[in-house]
This record gives sequence, C-alpha cells and structure tokens, in this order.
Amino acid sequence: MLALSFLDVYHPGAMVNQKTLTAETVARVRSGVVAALSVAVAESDKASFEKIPKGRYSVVLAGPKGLQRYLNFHHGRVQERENKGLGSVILRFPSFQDMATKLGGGSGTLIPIPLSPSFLKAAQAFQTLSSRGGELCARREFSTEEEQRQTLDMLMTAALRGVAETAMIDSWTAAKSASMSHGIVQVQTQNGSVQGWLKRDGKVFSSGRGAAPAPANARLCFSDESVGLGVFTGTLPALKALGRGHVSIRGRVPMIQALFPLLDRFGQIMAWNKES
Amino acid sequence: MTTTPRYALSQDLFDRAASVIPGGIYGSKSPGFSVPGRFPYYFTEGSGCRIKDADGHEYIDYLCGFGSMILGFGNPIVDDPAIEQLRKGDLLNQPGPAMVELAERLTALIDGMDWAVFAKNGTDATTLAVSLSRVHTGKPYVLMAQGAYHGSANWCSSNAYPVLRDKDEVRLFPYGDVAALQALFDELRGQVAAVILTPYHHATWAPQQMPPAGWHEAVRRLCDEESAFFIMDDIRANFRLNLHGSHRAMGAKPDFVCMGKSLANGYPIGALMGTEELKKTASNFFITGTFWTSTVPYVASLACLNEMERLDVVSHVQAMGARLKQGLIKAGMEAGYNISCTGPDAIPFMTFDDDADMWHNQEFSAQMATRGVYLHPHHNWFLSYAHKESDIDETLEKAAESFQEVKKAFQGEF
Repeated sequence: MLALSFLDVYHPGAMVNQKTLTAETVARVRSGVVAALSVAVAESDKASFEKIPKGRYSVVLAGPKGLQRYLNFHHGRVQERENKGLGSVILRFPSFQDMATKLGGGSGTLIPIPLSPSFLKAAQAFQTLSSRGGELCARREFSTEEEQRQTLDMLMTAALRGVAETAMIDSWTAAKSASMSHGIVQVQTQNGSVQGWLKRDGKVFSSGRGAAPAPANARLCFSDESVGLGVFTGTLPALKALGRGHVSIRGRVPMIQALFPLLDRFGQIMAWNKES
Repeated sequence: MTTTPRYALSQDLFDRAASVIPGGIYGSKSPGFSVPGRFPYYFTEGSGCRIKDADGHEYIDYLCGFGSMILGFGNPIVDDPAIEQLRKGDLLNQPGPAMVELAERLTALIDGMDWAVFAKNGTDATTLAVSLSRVHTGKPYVLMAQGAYHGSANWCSSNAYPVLRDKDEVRLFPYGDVAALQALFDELRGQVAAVILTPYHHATWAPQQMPPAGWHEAVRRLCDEESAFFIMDDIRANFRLNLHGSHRAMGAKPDFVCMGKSLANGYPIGALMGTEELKKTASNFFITGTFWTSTVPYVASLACLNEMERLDVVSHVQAMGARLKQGLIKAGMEAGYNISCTGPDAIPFMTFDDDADMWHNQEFSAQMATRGVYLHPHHNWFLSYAHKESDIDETLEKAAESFQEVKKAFQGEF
C-alpha cells in the first residue's frame, strides 16, 4: 500500500549506527515525514489533487504508545491535525518495527481498521498521496523546471519535518537539539522558488512549507534548485557547496550549525533498515 | 546569492580539503564560522598587522591568529632567537634551560602565581586546571558561565552525545549573576571543585560583557566558603589587559591562571599557573605531551615577554583599540547605524544594535574583507603592537564604505 522507499535517497550509503537508533525513533520520524508529504502533495500536485475522492474523511496512522498521525480530508484539502477522533480508517501498525519498515518501503504488518462508510475513500486518498510523494521525491529526471522545483519542494518538506521530529524524539542527538536557540530557520532557494522553515519554540520543533510564519533568525539558502536537490539527495557534497558559496548560511548561524547534525541523523533514520 | 571569484583559490583548496579532512577546516576556523563564499579560507603569509590570503589579497588583520600575534606577524625580536634555537634543536628528549627560565619569569610576573606547567594549547591548560581542582578537593563539579569558551575538550565544548560523560559534572550559570552562582553552590553543597571564568565574558556570537561590579569578589567569596577553586582562563585576553595577568586588571584573585595565545607571539605554548597550595597536587599529577617540552616556543615566549614589557604593549593595543572603536561608532552613525563596540579596547567587538542575529555583521565583515580588512563577523577582534594609527585610519575609511554597502544590502529589510 505504501510506496515510500524513496526515503533512502538521503545520504545514500550512509552508515547507520544501528545501536543508537530504535525502531520507535524511526517510526516516529518516518510517520511524521509521510504525513507532511501527503499534505504537500495535495497542495502542490494538481494531478494527485484531482484523484483524491471528494468528501470529508480522515486517515489515522497509528503505532504503539499512542503514536498517531491524523490526516483530515475536506473536499480535496488535506490537513495534518492533532488527533481529533478515530477517523474514517485507522492504519494500525502492531509494532514500531512494522511501522518503521513499512513506511520505509519494506515489509511489515499493517492492519486497516475501517470506522466509517468513507473508509475506502480515505484509504484511496492516502494511497494516492503517499505514493505520489514517494514518486516525486525519487524523481531525478526533469522535463521542466517546474518538475525540478516540485521535487525540491517535496524533499525539503520531508527533510525539515524529519529534522523537527528527530529533534524532539531522538535521544542520541538530544543535547544537540537542546543547544539550538529558539527561533526560526528559513531554508530556501535564492530566488525564493522553494521555501521551507523550521521553528523551535521551547521543546517543540515544527516545520512547514513556504515563507516562515515570522521573520527568520537564520537563513540557509541554495543558489538554485539544482544545488538544493544535490544537497538533499546527497549527490552534491553540502560542505563543498558551502565552501563555494553555492549554499549560504546567514543570520544566527549557530542555529543552522545545530541543524547539520540533525540533518545527518535524519539521513541515518531514513536509511535505517532493520531487515538488512 | 553573492559569491565571488576573489576567493577562487581558497575555495579550490577547501574543495580538496573537504574530500580528505572531515569538515574541510574544522572548529572555529571553518568557513561556516565566517561568511562562506565571501571570506578567505586559507592564508599564506603575514607581516606586522597584515596577512595575505591564498589568492594573494592582503588584509589589515584584526584576528591576530585568534589573539596570539600580540607583537604582529614575523616579529624579528621573537623570531630570530626562536629560529636560532630551531637550528640548534627544538625537541631534544629533555626540556631546555628556557623552560626553567620561563617558569621563573612568569612566577615573578603574574600576580599571585607560584608555579607554572606548560603545554601546547589553551585547552590543555584549562583541562589540567579542572583536573587538578577535582583531585585536590576530592569534589567533582565544575561551574562555568553559559556561552563561555574554555577550549575544545568535551567537558566544555559543544560536543555532546550520550556516550560522552565529560559534561555530566559541569554546570552552567549566567555570566555575572551572583544569585545564580550562589544557587548552584547551594544545590551542589560540598561537591563543587572549581568555578572557571574568563576575565570578562567574551562569548562568541554576542556582544562582549564586562564583569559587573563586585562579580570577581563574589566568586572568590563563594569559592572560599565552599572550599572550591577559582580558575581564571586568561587565554584569550592574555597580556592585552595587564602584563601581570588580566586578573590584576579586573581585581580578581584566582587560584589558577590559564595562559596561551599571546604568550609567545604565535609559537605553540600554553601554561597553567597556580598557587603554592596546589603545587604538590600538580607535582603528583601525570602531566606530559611529546611536544610540550619543545624548546623553541619557550625561547620565543621569553623574547615575547621581554618585548611586551619593553614596549608597553598593553598601553599601545588599548590606545589603538580605542581609536578603532571610536572611529567605527562615528562611521556607523554617519551611515545611520547605531552600533556597539563592546569589550576591552584592545579586544573589541562590534555589533549592530537591534540585530541580535548578526545579519549586518556578516555583510559588513564580507564588505570589509573585499576591501582588504579582516574583521571577523562573529568572534571578538584583537589589536597588536603592529597596528599603528595609519592602519586604524585606513580601516575606518574602508568601514565608512562598507557601512554604505550594508545599507544597500538591507534596504527595506530592517
């Protein structure tokens, strides 16, 4: 049902420190990324938007220990929300291991639990968005500039959400996350064609697409879409791009410096595969 | 995005470095600490207060080897005897006579200090001071100010992972906050080995902060009440505030003084000095490093100390720093900016008011670099004896131009 094997595009070949990662951490991060991508696909991909069944329904990705990602569909508009109920269908993963591997494109048990007559619509909508999210992130050949822009948008969305989740739950990088000052990091291309942000407010890290909700304290900027794509897919060494000035960091730079180990950790989490 | 071919060779070198050196250039010298794409990454030579980058551009330098070059680059008074010793031999199995001479010189020079041991970097000295404090008191905790830099060792650096336990018994307090420090002593009653402080607070990424009235006295009192030691990390301010130690300038009475940087005008040597009470503990503690007894730095240090005393370097660097600060404030105001120049005159740092995130600092420093002046955007600056009035005035002319460029860059944004 889920086709998110694209998630290993980050830092391909990255050595995963299995001892410091748990299936729970991976499940939490990957499920957050899947939810954020589903919303982003609905917002930015017209073809997918049109495939989403009309009506009001919701999907809950549910794992152990109360882990839930709640997607609300309202006539094609998709929002991720705090859990507001049972939903039309619950996609239940019996274990974090199942959730982590299944959301990474591997095998794992997933039990759909229909809860309303619209459950089929809900399942279909989620299938459409999550699959498309995977396709867009994995795409490396572009017929148009818009395709390139869209893929960068998806990758940035996934990375920023992944970093936000990692910062809140990964004990290995907890001290790094704690050292990041409060505020907003804007991530964007130079011309603003793709923008995203990461915000820290107390213990909560959040992320989003587009312009930051308030003036950013720091900015990580790619000279163009190809640089952003190269950095997010690991085909362009970020350090070299930084040295060349093709990636710039400005403002409260320590916030961005605190981001780097989290991005690397996110790459490890995405590459994690307990089956291998 | 503004990048420039001006630094092409620096960037080529960094590109190669990134393939074989983790981080390319690590720590506080990494491009990410400056303005990547708009700053030189590699330097090839220096003379007086001027340095030349890998692309051949010359700069009036205000970083001075992160404070080390107090007499300026290539100073013959220091270099000539050092080179002579180098030819005779540097690492000679056992220490040379210069090690004894330097210890005698420093114990006579530095207020309240009765012995000296030597190492290479400031981190060696601060880490040794912390270890000796713990061993002597039998207590584990060390208290340090938030944002303070005491070296790259894990106990005090940003390296923090669950398997690194070095920070477990290090606690932080806001600089200058007596009540907060008292609260930590209360919480950790009977467990505090030492408080480590710099003479004033020179946290990176922030304006510098002079000690509030009574601060050092309060630290001394709290340490005495709790039988803890007061470690003065004088590495960065070393010899720019007072030749007898920055603690004299600040009215502080520490048990340890950590020194390095300008101790030998760029030659690699650090020192830990302490009071008589701590001498036995230090002598029973295993202290060594293969290169810690290399003779050349000791010879250089003796020459440097003599020259600093002869020239009254402290007065000079303070006067040059004051001229720079006043000129920058004036140039900033003329461009419509309120700027602050914080810290001692000899170790100033400029920030734009109402820009805590330092966007303006970064643009200003990049503009200055383009004009041949090396002013770090995030780290405090240093004056040396080699800076003369003409260098300061040239800097100020370029600052006036750079402020105008900053205005253009941020038009409508701030």
